[in-house]
Amino acid sequence: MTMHLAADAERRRSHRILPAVVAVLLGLVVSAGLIWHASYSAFSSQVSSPSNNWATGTVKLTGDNAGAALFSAANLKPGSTGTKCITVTSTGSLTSVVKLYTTHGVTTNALAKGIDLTITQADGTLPTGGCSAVTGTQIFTGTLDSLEASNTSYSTGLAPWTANGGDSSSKTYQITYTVDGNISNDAQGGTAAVDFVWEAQNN
Amino acid sequence: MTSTHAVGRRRPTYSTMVSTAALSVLSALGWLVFWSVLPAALGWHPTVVMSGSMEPRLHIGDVIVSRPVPGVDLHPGQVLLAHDPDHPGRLRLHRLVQIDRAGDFILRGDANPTNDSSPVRPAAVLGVATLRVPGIGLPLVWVSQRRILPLAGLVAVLGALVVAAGRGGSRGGRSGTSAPGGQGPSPRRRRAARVGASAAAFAAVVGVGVPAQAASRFTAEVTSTPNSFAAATYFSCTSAATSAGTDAYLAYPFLDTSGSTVTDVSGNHHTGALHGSGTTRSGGAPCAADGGHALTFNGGGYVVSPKLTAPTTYSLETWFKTTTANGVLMGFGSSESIGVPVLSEYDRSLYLTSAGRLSFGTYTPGAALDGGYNVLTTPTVVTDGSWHHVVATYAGGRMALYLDGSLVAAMTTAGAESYTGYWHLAGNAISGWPGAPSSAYYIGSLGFTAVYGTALNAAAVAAHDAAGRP
Repeated sequence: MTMHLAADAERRRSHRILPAVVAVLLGLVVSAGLIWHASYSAFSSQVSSPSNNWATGTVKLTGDNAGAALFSAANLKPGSTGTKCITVTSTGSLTSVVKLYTTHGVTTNALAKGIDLTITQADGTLPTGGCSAVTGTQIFTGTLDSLEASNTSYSTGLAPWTANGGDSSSKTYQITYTVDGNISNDAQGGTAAVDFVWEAQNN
Repeated sequence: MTSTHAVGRRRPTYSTMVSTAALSVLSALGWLVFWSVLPAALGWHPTVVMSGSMEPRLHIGDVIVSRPVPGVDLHPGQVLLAHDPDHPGRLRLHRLVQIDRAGDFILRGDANPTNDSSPVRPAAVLGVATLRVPGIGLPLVWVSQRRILPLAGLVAVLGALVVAAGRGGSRGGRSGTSAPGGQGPSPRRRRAARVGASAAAFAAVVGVGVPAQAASRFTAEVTSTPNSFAAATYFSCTSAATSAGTDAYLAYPFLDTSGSTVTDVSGNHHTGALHGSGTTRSGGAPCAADGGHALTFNGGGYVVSPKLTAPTTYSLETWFKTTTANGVLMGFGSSESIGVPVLSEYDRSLYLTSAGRLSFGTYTPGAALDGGYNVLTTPTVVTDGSWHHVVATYAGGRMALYLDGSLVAAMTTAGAESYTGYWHLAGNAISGWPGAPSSAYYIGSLGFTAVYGTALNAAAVAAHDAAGRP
């Protein structure tokens, strides 16, 4: 009877272990297949055309300049000045941080060193008084050249502000240039070009 | 014991199938976690995707295992794990789209409309995404987002699976505990110990290789381009007049506050002499950078330059303002004094016609055409009380007349009269010339005035005009 019991227990154990072994092996096969398939589809093919409407959320930023230049100033002389405003609006569903920086700065005759910039950031859209009535925080004063040197990418962008996801939040930037009254005649005929970029990245 | 015999011999029961299925699911999950973290032991980088900017290829909660870069040929199309250039201390998982001239990598989230603005330095690349374990990192995402509900749901599902997996064995276990003898730990306890040990080992593996968070970032941009700033060719009229290549003979900004001379700033010291009377000095003229001074004549005064041979290549430039259609703004004459018959020869004149237009006249002795008078006239009346800029050029027999920076008339002549004399401002002689006004005396103001030994071209004239304007 003891022998009989032992054989019986052995049989019972194998009946318990076999399904477990099958389950573990099955899990291994399934997981490997899943990973292979997932990796293959993600990494073997080139990217599809981007869409900006995935269910996971969006970051959206619009400007009231429609991408156009704020400044196209010619015949600048010592003391020449001008002011323009742009309102940047975030409408993404994700909370994002917006920063201002410059790209593609080029100059001839070192004109960029003789153009002083003042940038003011204000909450909301343009006030009823127009661009000249914008009051806010001065976020930059210095030459165009120094702005181009210090604010070249998102990580070095100026005046970060947080736009909450789901809300429409705006900031207005007032940019004023003044040609240095003591600029050298060496800058005569000089040119300066720059792109202003407002970029939002989700947190 | 017959019942035990029966269990042992019976075909798999419903509960055994459920338990095996549940165990399979748990096992698959376990393997997924295992594959997510094991590569960390080889120095690979498992990371959890925390945002959807790589949709639809990578989803939030996927664990992406990246192979270290050395020995891997990087090329566009690969998904790279790199230190986030915009957020120190964080990781970014985006696709390589381009290698720029500096050798840096331009990345882009598949779901982003634009490339990432900041390039990634090769040294910042940690690896190439190689394995994707879908969804297995979701609990970490939920933890980071403090979302209790899905976490609770997950725990409940796992608990249910564990219970279901235990069912099939528990029947045997229960009969085991009722087995006689009771020597050694019961199967149920042994089973619990085994599960505990596996869980501990599992937790250790997970603990060692817990994936870092890879922020695949959404970005959006507003760009203002191309902003341009262009400096004037010349910041001042003096700067224009004395720039290389003009060969200035004289340049008068009328800065003198008293006396009977007019200072030349061309560097040639061709000082002008004030003749006659009734000249006054004032400000408010063009060429503000040069002081914006003007000399105003009431019909009795004029300015005379030193003596020279009448040039055959030259430009005359002046700013003027008048309401009176009379007089010569600038002209060349054979004597210091003006008027006929004192002046035997006179031409190279900028004069106001009786109709209030501005003419540039030169004389070709012996020419049959128009009696030798070569005259260009503006199409518009200029005696309107506003400041105007005029340039007249002569070179190789070709005359050109520019008003306010633009060419308004040009012609070719048969040649120039040769004689010596003086440049006169605000007076000369004019009788006999086409459209001649009643008097050679100019009544009005002159601003910055210059004479050059070259013929300014259209671009130079425009630049001189711009130099004088605000």
